[in-house]
Amino acid sequence: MPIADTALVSDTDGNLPVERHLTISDTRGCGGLTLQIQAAAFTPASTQIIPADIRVVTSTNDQLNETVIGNVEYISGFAGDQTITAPRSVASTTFSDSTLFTNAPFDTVDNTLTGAINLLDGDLTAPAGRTGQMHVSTSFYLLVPKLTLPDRYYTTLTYTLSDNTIGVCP
Amino acid sequence: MAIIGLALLAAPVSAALAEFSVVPATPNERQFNFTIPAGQSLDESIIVNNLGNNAITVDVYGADGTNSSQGTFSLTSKSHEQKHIGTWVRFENPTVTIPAKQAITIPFTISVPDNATPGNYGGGVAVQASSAELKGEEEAIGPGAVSTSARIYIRTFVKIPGEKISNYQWTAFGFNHQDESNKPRFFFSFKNNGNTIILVQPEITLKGLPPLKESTLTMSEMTLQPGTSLDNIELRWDEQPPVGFYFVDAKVDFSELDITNDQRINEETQTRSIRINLTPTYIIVLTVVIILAAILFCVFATLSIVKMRSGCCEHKVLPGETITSIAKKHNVNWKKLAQINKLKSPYTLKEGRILFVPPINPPSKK
Repeated sequence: MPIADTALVSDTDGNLPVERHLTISDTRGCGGLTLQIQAAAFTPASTQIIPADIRVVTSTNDQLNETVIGNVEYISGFAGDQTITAPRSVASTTFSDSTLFTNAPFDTVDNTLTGAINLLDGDLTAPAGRTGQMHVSTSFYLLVPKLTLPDRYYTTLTYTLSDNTIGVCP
Repeated sequence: MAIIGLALLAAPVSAALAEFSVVPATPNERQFNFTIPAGQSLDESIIVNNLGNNAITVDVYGADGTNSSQGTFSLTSKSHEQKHIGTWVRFENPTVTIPAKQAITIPFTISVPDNATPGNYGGGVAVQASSAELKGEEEAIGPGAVSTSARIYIRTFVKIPGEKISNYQWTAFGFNHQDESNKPRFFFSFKNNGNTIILVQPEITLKGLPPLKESTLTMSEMTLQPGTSLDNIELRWDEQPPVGFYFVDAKVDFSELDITNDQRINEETQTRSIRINLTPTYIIVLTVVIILAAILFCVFATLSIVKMRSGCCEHKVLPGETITSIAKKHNVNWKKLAQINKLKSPYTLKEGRILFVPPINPPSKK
């Protein structure tokens, strides 16, 4: 249970989630995709605990022993374009330093859930495409501000998958 | 049927398992593009395929499009107040149960109000793993008090015929100083006051003084929905440039999205430039201190020379004279003579040179 005066709290004690990952399957053979995540406002309503206090990183689970390109794990049998980027990915396979969640090991993006953010950027221009499955693991840290009123706060994290294709597929 | 499928494997605290895909009912379509005059309706359908081994219950709904934190196309959450597409899309049954390994067609109607403002609107038709299993139950949510949900949506664009108003602004561009890794951070802000969907793609070029090389970074294309703004969209440089002063050229490509054929039209490029200093403060301070120290040293050295030369006579070097012969002639110490005249070994004197001769050493008292 996170407590106030604690800088950051990990839901996996700072370790990579070994068995928890998202699987995205695309069998269309043409077109790209985007995977986003967003957090709902906490209930009960709070001015201290807010979605922007949640930080998320992605990682590739090395235990799966699959092909990793650009921090996305492509499952055996995958075919087609492999240029998906995971802009909030940590390069290493283990991490315990909570400072990773406060600042930028990520080149050009932020990792707080102020709004919807991209976990996977996989846009493509038709007729490029993909067939197969991909894995990405997510891990979360919550910044608990000092003087946060003691209570049990709830939120929902929503993963959203959508097509992201430039042009028209045949 | 080719599909996108999203499978969310069980998180540690949730027993829900949802593997499903969503496509428009019209074959080979990837998104909905409607042209609907105000006051009219249109019927459409989606196909939801349950790929899992258990029946699933999903919520189906329309939602307004919005901008993500990085400016990309995004969908508002189900609980967010809806203003256009989110209110125009109606499903007869907003909650649907789909048996395992089956696909069902779910019809919906999109009705544009009589008083809807002409323009282009972006949003989505979404299918979301039901929140019924994830609501507020401690045992379902677990000690973390965070539940997860998964959804897939079909991008939906609606054009309401009428006067098109294209009015957008590049409201801000600046330098956010470097972060702890000394990588520069820039920010952009845009506003769309029109009724068309504007696509925005910024690019920054750093130009340093030679031998510093020029480098360019292009951001991903962003979607600016009508009546919305993108504020302080940040671009972090992907490497630490060498210290120095730079000219920064920012270029933004604007275009209007023609939702009837997904083409970019009415393209325009705007540019701005600023100058920045990527020299860490401590280097600047150190440089200033060094320069001041050098100045003080020169001043002190000059004053010392002036002091030493005060009271001096002048001696014009004659052929064959040496520093020791001159010093002996004037009864002065040859080393002091060399010091005052900044002579160094081998103390070679040029005929005709004027030397400053210090005052004669007073005789010591016995």
